[in-house]
Amino acid sequence: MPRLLLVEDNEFNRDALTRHLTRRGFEVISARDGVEGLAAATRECPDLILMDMGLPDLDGQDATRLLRQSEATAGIPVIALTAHAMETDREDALESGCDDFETKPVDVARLVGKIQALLQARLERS
Amino acid sequence: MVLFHDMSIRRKLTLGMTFIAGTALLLSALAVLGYETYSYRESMVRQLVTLGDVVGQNSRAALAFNDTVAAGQILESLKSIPAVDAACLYAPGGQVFATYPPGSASTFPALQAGDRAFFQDARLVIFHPIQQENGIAGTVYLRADLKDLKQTLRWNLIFNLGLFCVLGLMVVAIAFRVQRYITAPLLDLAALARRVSEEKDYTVRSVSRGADEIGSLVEAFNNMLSQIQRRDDQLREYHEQLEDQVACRTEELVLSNEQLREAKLKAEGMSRAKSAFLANMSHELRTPLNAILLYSELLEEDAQTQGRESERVDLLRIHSSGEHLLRLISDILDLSKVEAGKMSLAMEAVDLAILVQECVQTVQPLAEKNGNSLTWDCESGLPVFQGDATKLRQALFNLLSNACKFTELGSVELHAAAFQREGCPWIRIIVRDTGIGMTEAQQERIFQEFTQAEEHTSRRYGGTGLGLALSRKLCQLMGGDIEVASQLGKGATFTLEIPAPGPSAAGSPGEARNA
Repeated sequence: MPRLLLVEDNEFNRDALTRHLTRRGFEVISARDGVEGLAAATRECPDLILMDMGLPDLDGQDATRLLRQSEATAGIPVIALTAHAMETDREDALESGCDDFETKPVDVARLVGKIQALLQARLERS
Repeated sequence: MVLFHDMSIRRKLTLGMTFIAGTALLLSALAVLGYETYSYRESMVRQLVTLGDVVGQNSRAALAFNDTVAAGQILESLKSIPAVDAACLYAPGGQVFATYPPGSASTFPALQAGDRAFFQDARLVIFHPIQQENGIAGTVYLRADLKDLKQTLRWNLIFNLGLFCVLGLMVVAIAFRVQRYITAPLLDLAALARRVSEEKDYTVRSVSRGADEIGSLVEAFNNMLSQIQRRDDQLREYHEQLEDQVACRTEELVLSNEQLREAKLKAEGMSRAKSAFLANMSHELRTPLNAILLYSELLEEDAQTQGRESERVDLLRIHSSGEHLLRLISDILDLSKVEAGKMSLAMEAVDLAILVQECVQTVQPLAEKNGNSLTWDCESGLPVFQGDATKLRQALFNLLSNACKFTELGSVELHAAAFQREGCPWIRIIVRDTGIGMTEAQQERIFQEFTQAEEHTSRRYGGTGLGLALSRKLCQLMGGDIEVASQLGKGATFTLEIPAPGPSAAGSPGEARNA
């Protein structure tokens, strides 16, 4: 069962998305902010990380950069979740090291497609 | 004559006066000369006749006694008078009795009877009979040259000429002085006129020297100058007033320009603030909306698996309302981005036929809801072009959903075609409905944000009136436009046109980049 780390500060969003993904056969670990997310990623070594870009304190972009710098977490695929406020969000996310990009509100079916594609690609690489 | 015409008045007057005075002088001198000549000759004749009478009386005895010697002596006494160059005595019979100078009898003319005096060969000749009691005793003949006369006349002439010259000079001098009385005011006036015309100084005045015609002229000229000066002053006054007004208006203009600029800056600032606010708001709205959509989906899935059909329908309604809300928020965000100039184009290869088909399928449920037939056709061979598919889809979806929304039990048709404009490829999409239509005034308003054809339409048909405004802005961003043609109650036709450059075409609109 693929293990996903969801870093999301909004409690309802975190809960709802966790339940959706659990129903679709994923094991979901969640973290409430960037710092917690980094710790969980290092500790749990998930197969994929869903990273909200608008996090308090350490935001998603900086957290992703730190993930990429650490050897243990550098290879984990990251999908950025943003509220799509600005056109530049997508570019900023990809620039910081995210592998894909999903706008909020999340279309669950589409998100699952992206997750599976990245997991498949990683499996083929290894 | 021409020469005279061109002379100065001063010369004309001087010359005229000199000519008149000179003529008068000349005529009077000639008259005097003529009179003097005449009187001198008369006096000469009288003197010679008297001399002849004296000689005759003295010779009476010699004639009576036929004494030629005594007669010769008497004649010889004429030597003392140099003017007399010849003389003789005639006997009563006419023969020459004695001569002077002696022995020159043959040179004397024949006796002429009576007392006679006449000029002959520049000499004066007289025959003077010698009277006695019993008749004539003989005749005296005297001849005098005119040297004295000529001498006298010559001196006379010289004197007269001198006098003429002196008087002439005096006349010229007097004429010169007199003409100044006439010409001086005229020359003054002329100089003044020249000065006025050259220096434009209308304050100067000529001094009047009397009440004659020149005086009137000077007065008229002064009056004219006064009038000109008055008008000049008025003009200057008007000019100054005008300048004051212009300055005043300019000041007002500058002030209002300043106010306008301030107002513009303020408005721009407010517009930016509005855009930023809308962007933030839509971002904040998305987070709770995300939770609503996710939870309603979870519940709807639960209801489906547990067979609670009535609950599922309600949950689907919550979900679709949430999606509607999301679309509105997206529209607001997009609109604010376009207005803030932060919207850019993401160019990719667009297959118009596929895009149209997708949109029609999306709108199909909406058409069916109002009992409308939705048909579409694409011209065959539509080229794949470089464009922003998302924005084109958004605009087209808006047009189609509007058409379905405002039409009941009618038809909605879509027609897509390619065409050339100024040598460049374009596409045109026409969406025609048979709905409620619009008046011309309504057509002008519908592209403004938050505006529907009428206030009550938003209550009846729903929507915020953002769709058309955003669609048009998106099309304009893509280098095209949307236009409407409609009549109230007779449906509406929206025409969307955008440039459709080929995959390798350069200079495509917006921030085009090749896919």
